Amino acid sequence: MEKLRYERPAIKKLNAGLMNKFGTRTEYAPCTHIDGVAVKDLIKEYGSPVFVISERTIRKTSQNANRAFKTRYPKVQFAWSYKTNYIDAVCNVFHQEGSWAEVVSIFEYQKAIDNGVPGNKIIFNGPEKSVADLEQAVNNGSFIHIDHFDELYDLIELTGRIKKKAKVAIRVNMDTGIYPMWDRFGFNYETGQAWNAITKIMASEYLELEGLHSHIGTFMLSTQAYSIAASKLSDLAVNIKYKYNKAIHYLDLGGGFPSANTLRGSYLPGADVIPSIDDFAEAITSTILNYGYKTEDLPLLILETGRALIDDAGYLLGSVLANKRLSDGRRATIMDFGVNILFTSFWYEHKITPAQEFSQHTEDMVMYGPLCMNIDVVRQSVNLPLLNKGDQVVVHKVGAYNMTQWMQFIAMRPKVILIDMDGKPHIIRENETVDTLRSMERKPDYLKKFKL
Amino acid sequence: MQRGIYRQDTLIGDVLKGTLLSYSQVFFSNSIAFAVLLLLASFIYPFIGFCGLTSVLVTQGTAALFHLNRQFIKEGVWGFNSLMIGMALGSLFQFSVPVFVLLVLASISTLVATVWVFGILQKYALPFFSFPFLLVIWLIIIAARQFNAIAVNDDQIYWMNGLYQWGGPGLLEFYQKINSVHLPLMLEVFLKSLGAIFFQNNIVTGTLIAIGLLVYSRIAFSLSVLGFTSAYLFYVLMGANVADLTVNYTGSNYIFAAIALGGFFIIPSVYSYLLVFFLTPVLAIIMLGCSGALAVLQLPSYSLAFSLFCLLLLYFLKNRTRGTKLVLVQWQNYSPEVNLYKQLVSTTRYKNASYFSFQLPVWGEWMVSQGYDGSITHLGDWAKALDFVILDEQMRSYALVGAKKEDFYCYNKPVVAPGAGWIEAVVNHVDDNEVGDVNTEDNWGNTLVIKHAWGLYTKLAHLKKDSIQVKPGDYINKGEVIAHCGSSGRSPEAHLHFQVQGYPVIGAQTMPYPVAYFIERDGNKHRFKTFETPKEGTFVSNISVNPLLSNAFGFVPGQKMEFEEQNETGEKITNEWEVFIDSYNNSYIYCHTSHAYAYFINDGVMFYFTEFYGAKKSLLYHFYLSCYKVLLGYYDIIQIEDELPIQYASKNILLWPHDVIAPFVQLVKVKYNLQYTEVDDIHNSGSIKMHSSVQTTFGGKNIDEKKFEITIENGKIQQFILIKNNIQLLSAICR
Repeated sequence: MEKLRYERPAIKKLNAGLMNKFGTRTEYAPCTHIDGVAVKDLIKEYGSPVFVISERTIRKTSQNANRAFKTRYPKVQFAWSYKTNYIDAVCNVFHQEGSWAEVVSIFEYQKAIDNGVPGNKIIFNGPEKSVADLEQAVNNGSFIHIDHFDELYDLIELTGRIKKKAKVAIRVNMDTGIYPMWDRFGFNYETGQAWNAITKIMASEYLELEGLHSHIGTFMLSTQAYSIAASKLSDLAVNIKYKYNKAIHYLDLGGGFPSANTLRGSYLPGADVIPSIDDFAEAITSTILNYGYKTEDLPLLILETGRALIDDAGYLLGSVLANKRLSDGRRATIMDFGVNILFTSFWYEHKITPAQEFSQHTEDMVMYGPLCMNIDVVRQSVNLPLLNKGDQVVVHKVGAYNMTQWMQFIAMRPKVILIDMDGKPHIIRENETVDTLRSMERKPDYLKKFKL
Repeated sequence: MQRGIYRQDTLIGDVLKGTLLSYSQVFFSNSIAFAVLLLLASFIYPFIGFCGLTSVLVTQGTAALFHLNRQFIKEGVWGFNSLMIGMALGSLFQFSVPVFVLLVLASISTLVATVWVFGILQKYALPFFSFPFLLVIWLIIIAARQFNAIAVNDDQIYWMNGLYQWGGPGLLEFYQKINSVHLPLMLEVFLKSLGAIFFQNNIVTGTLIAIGLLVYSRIAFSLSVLGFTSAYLFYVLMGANVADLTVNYTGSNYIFAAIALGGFFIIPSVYSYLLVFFLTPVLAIIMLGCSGALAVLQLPSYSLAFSLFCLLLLYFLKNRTRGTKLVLVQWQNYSPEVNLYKQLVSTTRYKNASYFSFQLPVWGEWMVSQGYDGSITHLGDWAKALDFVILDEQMRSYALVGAKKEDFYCYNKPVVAPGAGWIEAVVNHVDDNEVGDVNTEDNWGNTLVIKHAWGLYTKLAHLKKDSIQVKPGDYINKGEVIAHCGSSGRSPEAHLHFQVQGYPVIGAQTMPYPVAYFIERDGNKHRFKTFETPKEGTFVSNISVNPLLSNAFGFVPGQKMEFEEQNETGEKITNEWEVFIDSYNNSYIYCHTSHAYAYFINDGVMFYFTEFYGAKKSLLYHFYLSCYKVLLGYYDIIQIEDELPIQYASKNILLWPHDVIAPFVQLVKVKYNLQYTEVDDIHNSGSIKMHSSVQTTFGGKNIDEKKFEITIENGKIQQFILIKNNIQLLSAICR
């Protein structure tokens, strides 16, 4: 029999709530394994902290999303949003599931090309595209989603110079009843700016208007907004057909579907308030289907879902560095990961679970990261069992944005592990070391030496 | 044979071609080579040959003058009875001007009789055999008794006198030498019987005809031997005189009947051979009966017994309501081999041609939760129905715990029209059940019945309340959204019920009926299904048609294509193709350069060639092979497979010996396979590449393989190349 674990003493306020037959139970179980691999083995092998991604969850989520749309609409294409997580292995799982690539910079564009995505299956979004970037995209036959008039003029000039057709779409922003309105991207629908851009494209010799794009926001909690977006894009598409007799080949509804994370300040857990991907699919497809297209003219529906497809698949494993008592009496736990690698803790109340068995006793605590910065707070207040130094925890649903927005600040970035379909872990990104920094830094000769 | 083609050759050409083909028509053939041989054989007795030819020419000319069916003129259909009349008169009478007049009149009369008999029998879709000949020859024989100016021909009796007169002692000696060759009696009788068909009772004519018959068709030849042997054995058994077989067409009747029933009007098979062998004695009885009856009028019965026997038997067989044995030839190819080989392929290939083309009534991939004769509710009169649900990767039909109907994946999913038609009945008011509840009162729940044709209805049931977007009388197109999946009626969990029925009422019994095209998934394996019923437990999805493929293969009449062909020697030939449509509404591509024809069908989902006529060296032939069957959707996960008729086997294999055994067992197979290999963009394709192969196998062993690479670009078939043994033999580029 294993030696009983030491548990430090804790004082807990008596909760005078209604009695129930379960007593004051801790609502969640420890998370000891991810896809059948023990957390403690992962930390032992790959260090702490470490990001773990479940391939099984990615595929399942992706298939679920595909099913939600494809059983409601005949022509659907997902494009993997690179900015959400552009580790090659992750991207390629999505590409294996049939996703195209959606990139917002030439660096992401390069990554997609390197991953083997054919040029004509890359959607190039974003406000920053140099003329050289555009030229590469035109030559590769990629879909260029024009963000502003200056980009449009660049493209007209470029294509006229190289005498090559460019496949383009415009990004349209619109009032969908959502605050804030993302009117800084693309051309506005209500003011007629979008139609203005369309007219210019139709008049240009080398631009082929293939689609219409909108991306109304992020972590959207209303399906109605997508209905409005689909309807406004369809209005443009139908008018283009009417005026120019040109059937728009695709409508790209962008991304913005939420994951099951709980937003800071939200009263209910995320999973209970967010609409499911089926709800979004229903809102979008039924709007397009009822808009009055002929069956054979129905446009392809492109979705650039990122967060909702990857968040659930990512885990962050870490260890307790120390316990502390704060001056106001609150308990504080210091972890070996902080906002440097868990950027999303700025807006999510991440679910954190101990990775080992624990008793029924819990304590409210602040969870800090390891940085010497006051802002490094992982959770302001979290009810967790009594953790000792060296205990391990699992942070859930961290697959989106963390592995792209993380900072090399004070600490180095850790390894990223992918657990494959057979439960075998693979390193898909090495941890950074001092050498990583050394390899990039250059010292002028006169600064090489000093005497103290 | 090219039937009803809108393109026409010159009248004189058609008349002459038909004149020649009248000779081979006597033997159910349209082979020009065989016709030439028969023409020569007829001139062994020059006068008989002359009379035959004159008669056919007069008939053909008259037919052309009176604008009779041009196709029949070209095929010699009008002429072959006249050929027999001509030869019969030549054998009966000596040459004189009155005989010549009689010959011309007889020929025209035969044509009139042919048209008349044809008109009567075509209503029963029966051939007219040699009835016109019989009618006319009997009348003439009777009438000629009154014509004193006409002398009976005794050449056949004093044959050697004539020979001496005509060719001198040399020819006579030669003839005697041939005749002195001692042949077994049976063979001699067989050859003489063949000769007697052209009213020439000698071995030389018989041998020539026998050789011609063998070249024309191995099956016909073996059948003629079989029929003759059966008759011979019967004569021996009955103690009849076998020498009688050579007299006046007697033996020929057995030979004709054997070919006609064994392989020409019936697909050659073990059963047709048995039929020939065992029914020949019946024919003998009919013949003796006819001869006896006609003897009263002192008339020979000629081919009456054969014509009567075949007519009765075919009429009898046509009246079967079903039958997989003794299959009648539907489309005459004028060759027992081709009849057989095409039938072997078409039983699997065109068995579905008459079906209405249904698609699955859903989008995306669904699972058949209950198939035909399902154990849950598909019972009794309602057994032939399909239930569909959506499953996730864990094989569950619902999310979360499935406590609410909305948790079921299929709930509220679009339901589309399985085929075009009119809405017949709508029920739209039944509440959806909560999970686990059933409403046996409104058993079918919200229901739609669609009329696709008289006696062909589909029903979709358990739909969501108020989700039906159509009303009775509306016309809907295939694939249009018409309702949403629900859980009303006898439906404890959301699912879609689909059935085909023969009546418009909602409670009508089901009718087994296949779905035209769909993809079946089993694990990671995908299979392409044509005209099958989805099986319980399988995952199925509709074919999504690719506009590029659909455009490239959407040949419309009047469309012209120009292909530049380059063969292995580097020689360049420009092929001009044009799409035509014939009077039977069949489309075909005609090559102006090689004069080849390739018939095709495009049903919107599938493009396939049905027939090819022309040179096997032509580019069109290679196109026919390479695109024998093309699915108009891009699917690199499946292979399209088919079989070609054996006559398209590689030249590396000698088909003659195989022809002899083919009615019983086929060792040679010609397999077609097509795979899609590359596409630039599946949703908006600009370029597609596919590979196909045509493989000849003998006893399962690969003997020869032709590989094709086809590129579709710019909305058309841009290029295709032929590769054999890794060498590019041919390339064609569309201009």
